[in-house]
Amino acid sequence: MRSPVAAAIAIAAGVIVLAGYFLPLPLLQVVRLQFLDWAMLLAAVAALVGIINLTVGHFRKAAKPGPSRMFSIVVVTSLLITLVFGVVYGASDSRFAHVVTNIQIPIETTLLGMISISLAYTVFLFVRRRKSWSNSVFIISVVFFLLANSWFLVFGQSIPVLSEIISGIQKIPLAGSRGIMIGIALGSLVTGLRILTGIDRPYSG
Amino acid sequence: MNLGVTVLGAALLVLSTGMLLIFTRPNKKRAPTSLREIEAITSLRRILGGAMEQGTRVHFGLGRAHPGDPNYASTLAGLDTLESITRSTLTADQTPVATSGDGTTSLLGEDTVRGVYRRDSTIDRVPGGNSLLAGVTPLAYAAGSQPVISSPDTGANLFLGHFGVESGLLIPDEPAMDKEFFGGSDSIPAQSVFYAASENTLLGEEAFALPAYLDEKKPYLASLMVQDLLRLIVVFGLLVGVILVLAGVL
Repeated sequence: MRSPVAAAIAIAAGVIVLAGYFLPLPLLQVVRLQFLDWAMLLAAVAALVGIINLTVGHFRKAAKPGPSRMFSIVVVTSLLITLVFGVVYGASDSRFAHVVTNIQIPIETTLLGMISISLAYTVFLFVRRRKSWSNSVFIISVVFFLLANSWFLVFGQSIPVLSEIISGIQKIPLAGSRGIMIGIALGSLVTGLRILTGIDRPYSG
Repeated sequence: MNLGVTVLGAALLVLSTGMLLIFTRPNKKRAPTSLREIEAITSLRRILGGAMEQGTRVHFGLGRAHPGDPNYASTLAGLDTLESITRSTLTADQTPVATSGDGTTSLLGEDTVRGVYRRDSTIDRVPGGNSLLAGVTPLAYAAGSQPVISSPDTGANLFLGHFGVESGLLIPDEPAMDKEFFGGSDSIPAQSVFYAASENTLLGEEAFALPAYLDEKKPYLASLMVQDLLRLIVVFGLLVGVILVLAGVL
């Protein structure tokens, strides 16, 4: 049985924050901002709990012999070093920020490079394995619109009628993505309303 | 904010809430809802059955959105789905494991899994650590999920939530790994990546319909009915807008 008190608090907080967007009452704005401040504070505490959970998990893995042991040792060591330096120098210290940024940026750039290779490989597998008509239409569309939005149709931009046709062709993917986005927006709205009305509760309370 | 937009937004909100509450109420006169078949969801049932038979665990990626993010609704749909999946795999050898890129979502994931077992009075069967914070930036999340994705214990990788291009690192990189894959997201880049990687991909609003398909509860079915009606209103609005533009009024 889920607690009605938890649901009542969640619904009341949700309704007050939402009402604050529509009604410009000063008291409502004060309460709304206070709630949002508390939410940020709770989110930070939740992140801390998550990080402690992650660290404990890696400590356990580092203690056990196995192929991924070294990764866990690296994760725990880097986390502890960052934590100690962050506490001693403060997160806004320029030397601390310089070191963290110069470690993080090369790692994330490498991961982005890996994503591009992974995506190219996925497209290769897609063409090789999935040979239905709808998948063929998908891959032809991908190639066509990639070309259409690059140099392929540049020659027609100066011809009056043709330039409008080209402009229309270039907008087709945008129209498709807007259709998908409208569906997603409606889904998001109704999912949010389910929580707000207490019909659906993603918390046990 | 523009007053007209504010009033229109508030009216849409009141209308949607009203419809949702009406459709959620029991009504014996209303014909039973029939849902169109979505191939990816049929595959998901097969994937879950396969993972249970093999005694492997299901990994569920909830994405990296945080509760203040406008994209968080897809993570909420993911949490609903995680609850349904946990319930349908109650008799499995291993509990599902969730990963996310946000601390609050991580706690909600743990609470969702444990809540199902608590209601089934089998909470003593559940070990801790069913929901992990894999990383707090998009790429850190993708990299931090790798040990769970590629673990021999994991039989299926399911993703439903908000992802970006980092989803390119979440897809199975080697077909021989013999792991099932299922993906859904509210983001267009992630949908494109998931679709290219697997046929088991939900497109557009299908991601929000998944809880209704897995667990035919009244509120979920009511949500689908409201979404359909809202879609009709949007179509009507677009048509009126086109006519007004052609007539030179707008």
